[in-house]
Amino acid sequence: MSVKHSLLALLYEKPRHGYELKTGFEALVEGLWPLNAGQVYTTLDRLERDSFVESLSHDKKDRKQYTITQAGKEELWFWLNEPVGRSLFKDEFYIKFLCASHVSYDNKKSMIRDQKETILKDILHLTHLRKQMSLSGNDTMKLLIEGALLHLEADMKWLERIEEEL
Amino acid sequence: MINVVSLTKDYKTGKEVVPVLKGVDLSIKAGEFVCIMGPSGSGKTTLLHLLGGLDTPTSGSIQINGKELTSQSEKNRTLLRRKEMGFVFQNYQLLPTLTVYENIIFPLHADGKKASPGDVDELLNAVELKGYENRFPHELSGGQQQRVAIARSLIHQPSILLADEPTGNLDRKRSGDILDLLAKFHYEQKQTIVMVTHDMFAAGYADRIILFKDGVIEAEVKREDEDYARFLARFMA
Amino acid sequence: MLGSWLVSWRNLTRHKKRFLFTLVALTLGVTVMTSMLIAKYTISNLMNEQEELYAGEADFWIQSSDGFFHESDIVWLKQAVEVDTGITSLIKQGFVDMETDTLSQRAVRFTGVSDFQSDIITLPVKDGDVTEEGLIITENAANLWGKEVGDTVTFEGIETLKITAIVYEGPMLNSPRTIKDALNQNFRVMLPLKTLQSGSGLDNQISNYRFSVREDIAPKEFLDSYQAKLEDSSLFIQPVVVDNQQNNDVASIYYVFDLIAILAVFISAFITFNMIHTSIVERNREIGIMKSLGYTGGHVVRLLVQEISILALIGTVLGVSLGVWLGDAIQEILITAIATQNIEYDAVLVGPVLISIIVGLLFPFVAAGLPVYQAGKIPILQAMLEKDSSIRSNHLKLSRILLGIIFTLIGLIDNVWAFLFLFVGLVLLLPFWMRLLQLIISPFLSLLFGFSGKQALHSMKQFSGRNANTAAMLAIGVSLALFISAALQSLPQGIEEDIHATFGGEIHFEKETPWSKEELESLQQFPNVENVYPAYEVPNVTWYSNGEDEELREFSIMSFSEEAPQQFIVKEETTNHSGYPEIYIGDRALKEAGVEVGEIWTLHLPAGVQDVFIKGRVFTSHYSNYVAFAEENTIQEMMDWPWSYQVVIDAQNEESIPVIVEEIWGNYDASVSSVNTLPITVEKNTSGVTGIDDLFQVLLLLIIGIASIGISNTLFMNTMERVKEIGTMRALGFTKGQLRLMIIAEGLFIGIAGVVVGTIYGILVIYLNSISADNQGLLDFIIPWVSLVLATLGGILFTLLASWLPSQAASRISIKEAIHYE
Ligand SMILES: Nc1ncnc2c1ncn2[C@@H]1O[C@H](COP(=O)(O)OP(=O)(O)OP(=O)(O)O)[C@@H](O)[C@H]1O
Ligand SMILES: [Mg+2]
Repeated sequence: MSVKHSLLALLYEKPRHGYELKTGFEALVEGLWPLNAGQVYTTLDRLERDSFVESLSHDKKDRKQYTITQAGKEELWFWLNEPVGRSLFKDEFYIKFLCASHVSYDNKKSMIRDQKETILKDILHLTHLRKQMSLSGNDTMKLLIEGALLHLEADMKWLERIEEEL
Repeated sequence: MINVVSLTKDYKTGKEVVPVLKGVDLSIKAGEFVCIMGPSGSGKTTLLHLLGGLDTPTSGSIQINGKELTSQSEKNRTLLRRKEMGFVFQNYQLLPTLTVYENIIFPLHADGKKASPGDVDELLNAVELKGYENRFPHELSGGQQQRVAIARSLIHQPSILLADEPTGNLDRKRSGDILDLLAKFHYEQKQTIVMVTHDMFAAGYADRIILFKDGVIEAEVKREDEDYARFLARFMA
Repeated sequence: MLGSWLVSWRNLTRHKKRFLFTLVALTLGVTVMTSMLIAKYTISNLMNEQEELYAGEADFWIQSSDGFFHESDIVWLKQAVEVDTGITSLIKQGFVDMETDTLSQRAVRFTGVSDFQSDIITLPVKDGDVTEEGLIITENAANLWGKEVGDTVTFEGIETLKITAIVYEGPMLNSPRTIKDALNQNFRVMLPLKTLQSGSGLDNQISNYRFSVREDIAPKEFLDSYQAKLEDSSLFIQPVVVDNQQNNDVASIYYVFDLIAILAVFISAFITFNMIHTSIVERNREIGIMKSLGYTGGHVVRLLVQEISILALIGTVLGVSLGVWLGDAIQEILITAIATQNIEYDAVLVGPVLISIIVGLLFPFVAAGLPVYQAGKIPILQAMLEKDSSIRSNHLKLSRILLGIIFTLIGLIDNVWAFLFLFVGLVLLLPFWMRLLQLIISPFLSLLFGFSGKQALHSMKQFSGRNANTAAMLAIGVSLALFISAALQSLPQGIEEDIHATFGGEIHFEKETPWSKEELESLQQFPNVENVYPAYEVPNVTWYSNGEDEELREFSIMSFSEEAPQQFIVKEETTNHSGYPEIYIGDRALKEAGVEVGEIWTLHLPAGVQDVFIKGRVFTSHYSNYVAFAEENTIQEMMDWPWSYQVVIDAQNEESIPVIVEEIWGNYDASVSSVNTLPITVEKNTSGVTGIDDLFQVLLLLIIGIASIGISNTLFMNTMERVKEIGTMRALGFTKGQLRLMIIAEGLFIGIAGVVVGTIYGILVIYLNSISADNQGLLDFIIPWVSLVLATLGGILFTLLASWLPSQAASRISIKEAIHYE
């Protein structure tokens, strides 16, 4: 979903060809979300099919150059404006926890511990990232990280909580 | 450069002798950002105080930039601290009768130096306290006070910054701001930072994490280490 | 430097009330000290000035043991090369021609002088021209007689004279202030020598010749050679000596001045100590922070020293200014009490003000020395991590008690100043006394104040050190108040007893001419006269003091004999004998001369330089004990003083004294030099003491007042240190009223402790002084009940007043703020 709209956002800036879009996307997310070329092209095809972009011209190296259409712009605005809900089961660990209870899984404890470890690892990783974003002055990214950290903190609290319940 | 060898510290309470540090060996390179973590009562603050020469060890040696701290007189330790070190205390420890400005330039003043208005201004901007120069500490919020404390610890451009839970009582946003500030100074001035903290969110800022338990260094991990996070997580649990 | 004075000022004024109270205490301390010093210096200066005025420019004078002598006897001397200028005078008694009840009220002592231009005699001119030949009278005389310059006065036997000048009262010329005073004091006036000589039929007769010698003449050699030249005549030469010790003994007043000044400064110092100490304890943590940021002990001390400097400077400036004003008022009262006449005087300011400034600036530092020194050594960590500075150890230190006992023992030594150590002991032992009193008073406080009282007792423990110091100040104030009022009560009584014991007879009568045997016999026949004894007094005996640079001193030697009534009490006597004339000498003169009983001593007598043997040390009421006694025969034969000018008269009874006096005047009129009676002497000597009584009471009240400022200050500090605690108490349901009661109960306890301990020590000091040998038994052991009641009530009342403000402040503490108070 969001890859599609990210590409629209990048094209809104200026017309680009496929590879440019891939690097553009990666720069946007500070390399935190690698995209493969195939993914870019299937997405572009879909966008073209929905008439959100069009590929009228080719550049010097004869690569397809994509441009955003009026419909594409409208789609982008629409997307930006739409609030994002949160599904209870979006987090896979929730489902895991549910299933583990269902099958009376014995290793729930280690499962939780490992999850905590993972979260901690993410926290350390993200704080380090935050430091770097702060040093390089990328405030938007810093805010994203902060959001993620808050989620992680909440997850951590929840894990501690269910650990106690066991 | 900080070099600590076989450092011990006992406290006497009544007739009882309580060993708090039981032989600490530690070496911190110039420009390193080190974080000390560990359970409450494990001796982190005690170690930091010893590093700052605020207290004398029972035995062992502490070298600061090649100078042995333990054999110095109280006065020389003061001089060393004054020139080389900045201290951030857990609960700000601002001087209530001094204004923000006067608090910040205090270490310079103690050293008999004049503050250059440019430097102070820059620092005030960095901690976002421009316009608050003439306020007294009790007229500031907790976060603002903490920032004054940080500005104060940096005004004399110390080569070593010792910070004891600088984000201790702050909310996530404020503690993030403080850490950013420290990171910025560390990045720009390359001083050695030793930070004691309980907070994982702060620990991620350090190059190295030293884990303290019962008065000894239990383990340490470097950012580059493979199992950095896992190890820490195990340890903290 | 960081406007560090500004920071000091902020620190100092952080607690406004405390600062104010300390400043007031400091100011009052300096005020009292300055005023005492001014009073003391002015009086002492006045005495010297008067004496010097009397001496004028003269270096030597010639008198005769015969009284009058012929002018031609000294013509050779007047022409001597060494003599610069001189003046001859005749002193003669007479009467002014006016209506009075008794003859004595008209008695005049004339001084006829040969030269009005001479500067040998200097007079303080009020009006007219003293260099113009004519009649010179004093201000008092002019007032009583209703005369002005240019008016005329008629004297019996002497022609009517025109007043050419009116002068202020002084040693040379003075007059009674009221017609009642005139009964016992004559009018002293000055007129041309020739006029007096012809008017009194004493042509060419003079009483003395005063002169100055050329500057290049060594006085000692001159004196020796002329003494030798005059050896065989009745004339004798003496240096003119400035020594007023025979006429007054102000040392005891000085002593009380010093005592009060020391006391005031002491109490102020204590309050300062309390304040600085508290302020440092409060700021322990800040000091720790400063040190952790690079301040050295020296820095910390300097910061505190700056604060004290500000305090000391303001206190001194205010104190000295107020002190100058108060000193002026006090000496006005004193001089009217001590001096018998209106005297023109200048307040001595420079010395006292300088001393006050120095002491005022220094003593706060001395008081704060210990806490400041300790502040410099505050260990960083301990101070910074300290959570609550008000938690302190509460046990009595053994060393303090031991030291207290040692000081108390030193205080028991018999010396006028030693008892100050007693007070140091008191301060040190006070925590111990407080403990004891606490046991006794606790039940009453709880009964009287209920729960608040109980709470008060708890908080008393918290600040026991400071409270004890405060109570100590009050105790010292109270005990000294008691001591001084006991002294003032018993002093006149002691003086009266002394005079009765050593006056000798009831009437002393001095005549212008020596007594003949016939005259004595006729006097013996006077009604009511029991007995008459001739008495001899060698005047103007000079000698060298034992001081740094030996200076000339002067006293007289009085006679004693087997038959005549004793005029002294022997205190010490040697059984040894020597061939020299033997004398008994009064204590004060003995000390001034630096000689001991049993030693040989050199005097300049009319007979010339004479070695004498000090046979004993005596006490007498005559000449303030600055006098010596020799046997009648010794005086006549060995001291070249053959004539008796005085007689001692034993009256048949007390009531007949005035009758005899009247009779004397009636019979001897113009030749009466002076008549002195026992009752008048007693009255003269005791009235001065009672006059200053009230003054000292007021001063002591002032000191108790300063002490109560200390109580206020202490309670303020106790309150402010407990803001959080008080907030919690209030939050838990303590009412404002209960809180006020609690603070008042605390103050009351300090007050009671101070008054009780003060009373005990006061009585102890009175007792010690009554048995003191050093004090010549001047003080009796009496308990001044009135003062005791006053001090007790005053102390407690002051305490309640002092507690009021802090109790108000405590009740105004807002609960919310208090709980968040850092
Ligand atoms: N002055 C002292 N006297 C006696 N014991 C002390 C003193 N100061 C500290 N201790 C003890 O030393 C131990 C270590 O204290 P320290 O303050 O260094 O711990 P810490 O690791 O900083 O703990 P925290 O994370 O809670 O701040 C504690 O057990 C404490 O009780
Ligand atoms: Mg700690």
